[in-house]
Amino acid sequence: MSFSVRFDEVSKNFGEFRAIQNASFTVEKGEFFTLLGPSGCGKTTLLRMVAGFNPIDSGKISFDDKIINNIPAHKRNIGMVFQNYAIFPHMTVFENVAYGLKARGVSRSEIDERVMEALTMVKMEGLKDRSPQQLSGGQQQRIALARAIVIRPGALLMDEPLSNLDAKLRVEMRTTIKKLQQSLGITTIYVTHDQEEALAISDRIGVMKDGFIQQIDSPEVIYKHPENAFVANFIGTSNFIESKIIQIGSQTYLDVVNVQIPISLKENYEGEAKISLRPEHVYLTEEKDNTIKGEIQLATFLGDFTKYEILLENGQTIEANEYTKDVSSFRKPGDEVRIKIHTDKINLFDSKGEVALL
Amino acid sequence: MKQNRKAEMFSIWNLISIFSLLIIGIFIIYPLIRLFIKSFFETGSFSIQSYKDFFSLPYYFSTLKNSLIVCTFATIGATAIGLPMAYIVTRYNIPCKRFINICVILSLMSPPFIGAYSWIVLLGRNGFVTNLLSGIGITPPTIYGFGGILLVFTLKFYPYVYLYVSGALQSIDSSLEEAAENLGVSGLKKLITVTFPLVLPTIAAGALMVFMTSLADFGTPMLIGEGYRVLPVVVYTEFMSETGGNTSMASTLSIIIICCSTAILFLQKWYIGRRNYQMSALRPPKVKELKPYSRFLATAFCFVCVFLAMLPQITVLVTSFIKTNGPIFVKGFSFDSYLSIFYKLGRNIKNTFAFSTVAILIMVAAGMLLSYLIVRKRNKLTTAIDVFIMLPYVIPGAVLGITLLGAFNKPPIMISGTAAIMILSYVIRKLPYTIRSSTGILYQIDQSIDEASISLGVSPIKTFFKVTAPMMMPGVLSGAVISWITTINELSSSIILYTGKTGTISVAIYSEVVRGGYGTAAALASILTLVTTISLLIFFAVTKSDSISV
Ligand SMILES: Nc1ncnc2c1ncn2[C@@H]1O[C@H](COP(=O)(O)OP(=O)(O)OP(=O)(O)O)[C@@H](O)[C@H]1O
Ligand SMILES: [Mg+2]
Repeated sequence: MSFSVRFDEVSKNFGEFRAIQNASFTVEKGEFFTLLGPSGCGKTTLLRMVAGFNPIDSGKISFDDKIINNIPAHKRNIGMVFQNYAIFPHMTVFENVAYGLKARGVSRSEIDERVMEALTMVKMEGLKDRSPQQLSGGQQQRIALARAIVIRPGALLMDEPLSNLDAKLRVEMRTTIKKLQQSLGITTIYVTHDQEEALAISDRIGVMKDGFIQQIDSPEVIYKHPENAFVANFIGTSNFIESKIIQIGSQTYLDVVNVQIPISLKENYEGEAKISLRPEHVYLTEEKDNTIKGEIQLATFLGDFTKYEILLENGQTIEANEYTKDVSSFRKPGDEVRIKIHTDKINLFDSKGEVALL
Repeated sequence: MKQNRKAEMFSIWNLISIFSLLIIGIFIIYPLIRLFIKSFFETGSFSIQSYKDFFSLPYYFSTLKNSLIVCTFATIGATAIGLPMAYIVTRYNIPCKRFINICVILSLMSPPFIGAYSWIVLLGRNGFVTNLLSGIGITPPTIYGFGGILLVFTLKFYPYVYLYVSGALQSIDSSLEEAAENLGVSGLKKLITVTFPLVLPTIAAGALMVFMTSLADFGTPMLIGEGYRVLPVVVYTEFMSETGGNTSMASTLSIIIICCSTAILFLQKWYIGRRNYQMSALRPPKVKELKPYSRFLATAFCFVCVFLAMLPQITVLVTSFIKTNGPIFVKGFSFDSYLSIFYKLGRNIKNTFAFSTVAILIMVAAGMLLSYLIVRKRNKLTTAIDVFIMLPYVIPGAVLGITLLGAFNKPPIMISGTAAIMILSYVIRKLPYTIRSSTGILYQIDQSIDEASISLGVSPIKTFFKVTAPMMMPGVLSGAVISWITTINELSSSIILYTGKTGTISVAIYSEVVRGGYGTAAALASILTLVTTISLLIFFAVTKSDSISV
């Protein structure tokens, strides 16, 4: 049934423009894999190469062990869900879902049974005789989903399926999708530029930028240990603080805003470096030793936490979240604060932000 | 990778593209090239004599001048009527807007020469009005010659300006004009500084359409022009007398006419290309209330114009029931004219509908396939198809007739004198309407719908028939209606291509008018008008609109 999808040095050019560069990775059987990246980074292009709508310029894509470069789109046995739903407007809901089964020559009674089963899965069984014009966006998206899974595809491809829905529906639908995917155990490649959505739904995330895959890992790892500054910035919120790595005797120090903190790096490095620090890992203390001095600029109370904007001595501004349950009083703009850096809670990159140092 | 490219090369769509280009090459390009070459060979050897003759002999050269002059004035006249009418109907609260719209479209879609014919019946030497006026001692100005052509062209083609401009006026978002008022500009000044510049490209497009169509019109000047000779008429007479006379002159004249309309088309493309404001009105402009007196004047203006434009069809309808004695109308009503056409000209009627039906079926099929190629499979091949298929826009019917006849009157393809060559010329001439509205709708259908079908396991070709084609249908049919109507009314290429067996209604009307058989001509024209009207009304009902794109 489901198959794995392997990419081997896959590239794609549009004229001179290099849309996908040397992508190599494998989406495992039954895995929920998300391609995440900013607009124009090549997510759709890569997905369409799997579906067979963009020819593969070089490299190989295989389903299990079978190279599918030359198999036409309609023979790849793939379910696809489009951003704009792509429901056939001249067919009823039932006919839409039955379409792929008819093409496969499935018997009438089996079509009835499977279509109803699929419609039930997306909770649309009551609307089977409606025409698509009478459906809301969310309902159309459910039909699109049912239509894609009813053919029992080897893999399910979804290109920003939720981006046309409102925020509440988006959360609801992504839960539906996730549950459905799990119960069917279907290999899924999901495209989005919404990092929160990606974190919530995926087994693994591939972060893309400018046609390159930047990092592939589980949501937790991507969030906690981004491999470069781009990923750190794109996933969640990160403060970037300019710093230096210096060597005093045999000890390596992180020199940040006049504070020196001993640190041990993966490899030797000296010179300019970037600290990436999530707002929830900015520890505000009263300690004076080895802490960075700052001044509160703006305090925004958000219920379970307060968001502060803090001006550092070096002129940089960073964001800090302090949880309401952890403190007894709130800080005001103008207050002086001290910031303690825990080296196990930061990520450190070289000056260009390309190499992780920790 | 290589294999991949190859597979792409020989995909089914590429095969269809190549096949289409082949057909276009044989039936459009080759005849044109042949015509071009022929214009340089008078007596078997290369010469530019006929071009020299054209520019040096006033007999020929004056026709170009005449054509350009009368078309220019017709364009001015058509704009002078169409523009204010469009503004009045879209912006003021005059009554019967839908009725006015439909009449305007009907007058455009009427057979091309009944205008000339009717004005002759009314104001000609023995016309009803002429006789009426001479009874009280007034001699009206002659309807023959320049004035007559101008009158007929203006009344027949102002709908282009009207339809184009009212479309554009409706697509100006009201916020634009409100913004002008907000900035303190209103009334006539707003009209001149905001509204007018926004619709100027459209006015130009409509005006050029008037110019091109009147330049190509053959029936009107032939019937009413008399001494005032224009290019298409001379093309026809040269061609008809070719057996003895100047063999390459007709070709030369044809080439010159094609050059003129091509130049105009490029002028239009260039002008519009530079100022194409994409507009779509979220809030269409407000309709203004007029004071009773102004409202009456505005309404009267529209009604008079519509009435004058519809007058030929009314005349035709009425005269078809008047008793005739040979070429002369006598007192009293009868169905004799109808009886006599079914008796004598039943074949022409049958031919018209048989040829047009075959032609329209071919056009619908070709229109769907080709527009799909043009929109969805954009590459060098399909771009070439796009260009060539629109070529007949600039070729007047008579010229196309001559071109086809020259190319296909001997083996390997000998179809002159058959129904095939008539149908061929209809398809070539009228296909652009179907293509244009099919591509229009296809641009609005998202490609992901096709892809959804393909990914569900349906091959691209099957997807085309099961998903794309049904969705395209409304657009295809609305273009096909225009193709159909203009095909049943087609005269200028039919008159060149027909033989005794393949005559059509319009050919019969033409020869009846020439012979003075006004009664039968009127009955035939009424049949055409009736079918045209019914086709249009069905079209309006089906598309739930009251406008067409011409
Ligand atoms: N057919 C094409 N011809 C030329 N360039 C293309 C084509 N399709 C995509 N591109 C370019 O390739 C790049 C990647 O496009 P793609 O659609 O894959 O982006 P994306 O990551 O899906 O973005 P988005 O989030 O906006 O959908 C873009 O810069 C785009 O302009
Ligand atoms: Mg995309």
